[in-house]
Amino acid sequence: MMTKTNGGAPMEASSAGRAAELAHERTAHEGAQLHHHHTHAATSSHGGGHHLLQVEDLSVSFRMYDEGAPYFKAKQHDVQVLHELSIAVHAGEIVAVVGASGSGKTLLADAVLGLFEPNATVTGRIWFDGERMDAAGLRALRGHGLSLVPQSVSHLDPMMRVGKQVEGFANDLSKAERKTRRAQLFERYGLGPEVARLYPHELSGGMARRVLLCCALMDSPRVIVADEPTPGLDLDLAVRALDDFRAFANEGNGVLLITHDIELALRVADRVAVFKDGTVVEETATASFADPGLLRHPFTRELWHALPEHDFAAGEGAGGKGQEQACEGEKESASEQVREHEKASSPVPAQVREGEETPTPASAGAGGFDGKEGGAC
Amino acid sequence: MLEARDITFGYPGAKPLYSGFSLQVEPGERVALQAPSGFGKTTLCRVLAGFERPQTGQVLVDGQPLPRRGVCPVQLIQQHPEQAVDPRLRMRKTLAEAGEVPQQLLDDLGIRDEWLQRYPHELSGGELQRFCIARALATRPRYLICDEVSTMLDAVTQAHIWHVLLDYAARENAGMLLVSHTPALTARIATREVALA
Repeated sequence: MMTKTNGGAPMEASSAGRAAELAHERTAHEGAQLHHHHTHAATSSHGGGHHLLQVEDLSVSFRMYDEGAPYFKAKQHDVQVLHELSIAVHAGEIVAVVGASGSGKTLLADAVLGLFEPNATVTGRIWFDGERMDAAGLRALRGHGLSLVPQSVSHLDPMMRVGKQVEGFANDLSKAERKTRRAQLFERYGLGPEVARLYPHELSGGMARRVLLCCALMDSPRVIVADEPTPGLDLDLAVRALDDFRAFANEGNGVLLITHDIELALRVADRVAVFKDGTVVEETATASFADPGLLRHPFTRELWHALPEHDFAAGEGAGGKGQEQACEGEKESASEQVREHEKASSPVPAQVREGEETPTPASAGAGGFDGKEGGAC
Repeated sequence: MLEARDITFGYPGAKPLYSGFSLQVEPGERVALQAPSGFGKTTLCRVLAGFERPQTGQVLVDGQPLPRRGVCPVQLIQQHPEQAVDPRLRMRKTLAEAGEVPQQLLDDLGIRDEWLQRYPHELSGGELQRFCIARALATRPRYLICDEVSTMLDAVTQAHIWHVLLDYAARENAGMLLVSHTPALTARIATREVALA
């Protein structure tokens, strides 16, 4: 297990355990419909027989003071916010992580990039391009193979010309090489040479977004993690921003797109991971969203039925328990979180909910994944 | 009928967002306001609900101007609920700004009892938005202005909140003006679309 607690060194796994894990990671994917907790899109490919990025059993908890107790008597306790989350990104695909805002999606991005808060305990296994990663490995990878496109334009330095900022992201190249690379990227994304001389406040929203993308691309990464790249953009701009990710993925790279806008996600992603209560409940091909019968988890089907272009249904028990579960935030107190999590993972209520939710004949075969989508690994 | 008559409005030092703009919303009607970012949709919502006073023109409800004090018959639900509540009041007091709030309304919106004791920063955006809606509906407004009320919510919560709003509008025959960037949502809810400017 890769474990990191309060700045301590990562624990080394025993060599026997490591061999077993490697064997597991190298499982033959050919012909497998459901493996590593997910199903494939037609475009999913396993270059070198492994995933580009794979996260397994990732848990994140924070050591906090008890909120309910009186100020001077509050004890410390651990609040778990991510629960044994697994997700995989294949070469050439965009995986969208969708779920309620404030449900901990950004923590997934932080963990993948090796950014840990001082009071966080992170456990789990992460592979990048077939290599097993530990905390130091992730730190070394950040900006050298794995890049972040941040949410907001305010991540640019307001006092520095954008050309210089972008060039600063490839600090292992010579000055001349950096300049050429930056010029190439600017040309590819339709930014004129004069843009390099501008300051961030002189850019329009769309230009700034392309500059952020260029920053992420300077060191030729294999995987981009994009954290909520679209809010505040109107539909036209948002679609253009996502087209840039599509072009990047089509070159054989991977994108982890974190968003709460399921409609935009469905428009551009190959696969969708549905995030609920701190874990990924289903990872499936975007094509599965064409028909609720292809979706396996009750919450995913609830999401599908809630979309305005489908039934716009508020879920059963509107205002009751079902609704409360659907919008758990980080800000819930610890005991509530744990309780909700138990509720979500205990099989009994899930069974009941599946039984109730049979509005169409297709979804009557709940859990009956019949492999309709392309198994072309 | 909610009527905006020949409205001109601009912020100081900037050129007017619109001049001579007129709009009518009938009871029971749901009008979607369409315009690109930065054209003053939110500002118009604020003018219609009496938060801003137009430089020329009038906002009328059944021919009468909006009351200067007391409960306004036009209620605005804002895009950012965290900016619409007093950060130093517990939610119980924030709700009490609307007077007595029926328990049925709280139940419909899925507001839990323990949330009433909390401060706004201890709730998520979606939870806060429910309080803002409860506060607006408890005054039984004749007209509701919904300014991107669900952009920060996941699809299930969005559908749930809109059902509560639509039920209210149907029951009270209230008129509604809504702003949304999502075409599918607009198509689902609006009975008429109006382009601004």
